[in-house]
Amino acid sequence: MYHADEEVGTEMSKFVDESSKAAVDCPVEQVKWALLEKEDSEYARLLDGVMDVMSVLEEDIGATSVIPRTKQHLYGQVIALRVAQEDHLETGEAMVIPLIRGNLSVECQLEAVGALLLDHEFDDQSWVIDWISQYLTLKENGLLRDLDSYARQAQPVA
Amino acid sequence: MATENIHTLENPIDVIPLIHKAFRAVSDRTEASTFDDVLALNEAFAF
Repeated sequence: MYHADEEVGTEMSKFVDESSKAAVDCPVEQVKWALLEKEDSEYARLLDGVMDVMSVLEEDIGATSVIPRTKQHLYGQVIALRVAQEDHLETGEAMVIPLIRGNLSVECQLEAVGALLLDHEFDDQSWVIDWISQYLTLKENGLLRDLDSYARQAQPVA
Repeated sequence: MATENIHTLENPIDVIPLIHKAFRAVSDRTEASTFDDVLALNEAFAF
């Protein structure tokens, strides 16, 4: 469940122009950039949480039943991970998305979003979209499919 | 948690909250699980 999120971290940052970051004089903008840097540490915390849970799961692979102590351990880690994920997503929604909206052209945004939604390394390039769509309303799915077709047009031909 | 339904995408980047909505749905399901089934948890974290 973190594939796309990982992609956000790698794909979006390459579209952010460092010179525009350096040119920011406004204190409000400086705070925004500082929060963006804080987001890196939130993301690292998120990955640490995933690794913690994966470690417990790997130890218990093959077990026919999970002992209560392991369950408590897992539950605590999943809750901690949920908090870390929520911090990360909320920072993204409150700070990163407005910054990208204000600094990247629609074409650049389409290219970045296309890199998130379309997996050129798989035969089924739309598997990310299909995975997301099962959690969306009919209306949201329509928006996603429209964006998908625009993103495909914006993608460089392989 | 921003899981309200989204009605418009004014900018392509506005698709990100839709992706987040899927993450949150999987998290809700995982959090609500009984943690009895290691394979189910593995499936949730395999992505």
